[in-house]
Amino acid sequence: MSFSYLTITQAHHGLVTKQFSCIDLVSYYLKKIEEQKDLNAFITITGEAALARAKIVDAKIAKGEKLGELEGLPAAIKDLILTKGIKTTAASKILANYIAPYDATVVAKLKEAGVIILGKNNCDEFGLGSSNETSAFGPVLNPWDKTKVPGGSSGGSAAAVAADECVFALGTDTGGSIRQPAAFCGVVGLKPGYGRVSRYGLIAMTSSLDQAGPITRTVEDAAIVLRVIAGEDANDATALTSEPDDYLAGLSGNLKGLIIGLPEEYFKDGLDKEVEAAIKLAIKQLEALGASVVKVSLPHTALALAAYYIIMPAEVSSNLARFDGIRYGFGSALAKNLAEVYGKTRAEGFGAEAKRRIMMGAFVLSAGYQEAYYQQAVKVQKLIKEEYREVFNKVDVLITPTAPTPAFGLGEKAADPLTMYLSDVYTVSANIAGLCGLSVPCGFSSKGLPLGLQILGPDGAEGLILKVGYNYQENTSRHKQHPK
Amino acid sequence: MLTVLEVEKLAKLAKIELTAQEKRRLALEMSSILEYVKKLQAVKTEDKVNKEIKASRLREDRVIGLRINDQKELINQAPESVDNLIKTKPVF
Repeated sequence: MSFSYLTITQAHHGLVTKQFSCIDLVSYYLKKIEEQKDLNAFITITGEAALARAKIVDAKIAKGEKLGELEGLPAAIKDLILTKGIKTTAASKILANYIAPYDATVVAKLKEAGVIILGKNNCDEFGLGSSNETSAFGPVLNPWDKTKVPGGSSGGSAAAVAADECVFALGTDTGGSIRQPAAFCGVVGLKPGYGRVSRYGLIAMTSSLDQAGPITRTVEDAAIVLRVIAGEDANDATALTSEPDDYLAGLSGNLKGLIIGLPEEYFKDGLDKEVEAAIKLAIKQLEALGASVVKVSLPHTALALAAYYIIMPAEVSSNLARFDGIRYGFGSALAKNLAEVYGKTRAEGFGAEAKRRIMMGAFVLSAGYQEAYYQQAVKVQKLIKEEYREVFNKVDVLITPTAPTPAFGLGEKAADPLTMYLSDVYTVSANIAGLCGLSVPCGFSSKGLPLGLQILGPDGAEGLILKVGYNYQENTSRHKQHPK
Repeated sequence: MLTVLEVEKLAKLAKIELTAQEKRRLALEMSSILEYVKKLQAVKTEDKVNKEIKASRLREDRVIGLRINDQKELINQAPESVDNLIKTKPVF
């Protein structure tokens, strides 16, 4: 049995039928990571620990003991998520040598399910970026075309899955950071609704929007991982207490009677013609599966990005205030007094994008400007939420492109931060409005770059968007193509 | 348009030492971003800010002790520590 691009089910099957050992499986991925190290998808590789765990799993298999569905499967974790005893850097100089003293809840849950951690994925520094170019550890390359970005901020996680360096990965999504890199790398990315997955142990970026989620080869895999990581958590007061659905059970129902909304504001200028064509084709395929399509309007769409780029930096400036060079992380050796401990540590430790967003946050929260900027953004957020609530009374899900273009070139958007921010236009609404969102591969550009389709659902509708994605994948083969 | 002086004031609030070049660049970049987000000000909204917060659950407010080894591990993470205490520069 080939190791190539195994899904969770295939990998599990291979282990329990003894077609390969867990050590062989882990070794395969460690080799793939080494062979493709120019992709720079990993900051830390925990090879020895992974092989040691694999040995234990193999002993279990040899004894004929039952294996959990994720047990022995090698996965990668975005370096914004704490993993006990393993360096967790947030891709920043300020945490370059920080060893996490505890596991994030999502990591603890995966470990309890027997997942083997291969290492920590590179990402944009503190999750601040849409191209994985702001990492202090160098950019990640897109496995489909190494002159292109993999997307961000979970670029390393998406690239690792696309390049067959792990079975699946965990990312985080605050403004599109799971979905957009998934689209750019031709893999599946899921942002659960806010609170569905615990944020305990996620290095906080925007506490009111952050969510961890799976990046996988198939929608079925995303459902399996979500089922493991979702749930309440006493350590996260914002985690939902409601029982998560059985995401796997609902997948295979057909789409008859499903009403899909196409928001006209998402199909205007700025949308690449090839992306538009791929989405329109996908819509036809979904109609053939029994869904009906309705045009809807979300007039406040254009405001969601502006609201995001006020609310997000405000919270970022608060959350990154803890990096003071005193309690953990990097502390400047040049500081002569307390003010310099703060000022120089943060000057030396943070990259340009982090500084930019902290400063933006300081501005929109400052006296004299807070009402016009931050408070107004929160009021507009409420309008946006209401608008989506009304739309979801008429339709079951919304379908949009995940990103306005295929993956852009490295350095292409470096000159102007605003140009970079605009690439989040289709993804931020889900975070701002508290929706759940799934990106699935839906085609390729004429240059062979993957294109992504986004399925948006209201809060709590993870099962439904997974079902739509699953049905789409069962009837197409986009996700079965891989980079050369 | 954000001036370099305003950027300096914000840098003090954010506690980041910026170089002269960074201040000039940020003045331009932040002005451009603020120009973009300004469109929100034209939106008619209610008078009161009512940020929707889902009912959150807080645990009882009491001291939960740390094991000595965990305490040591956390204190050792500080760039400077002495006698199981985190060391800082004097405040005054």
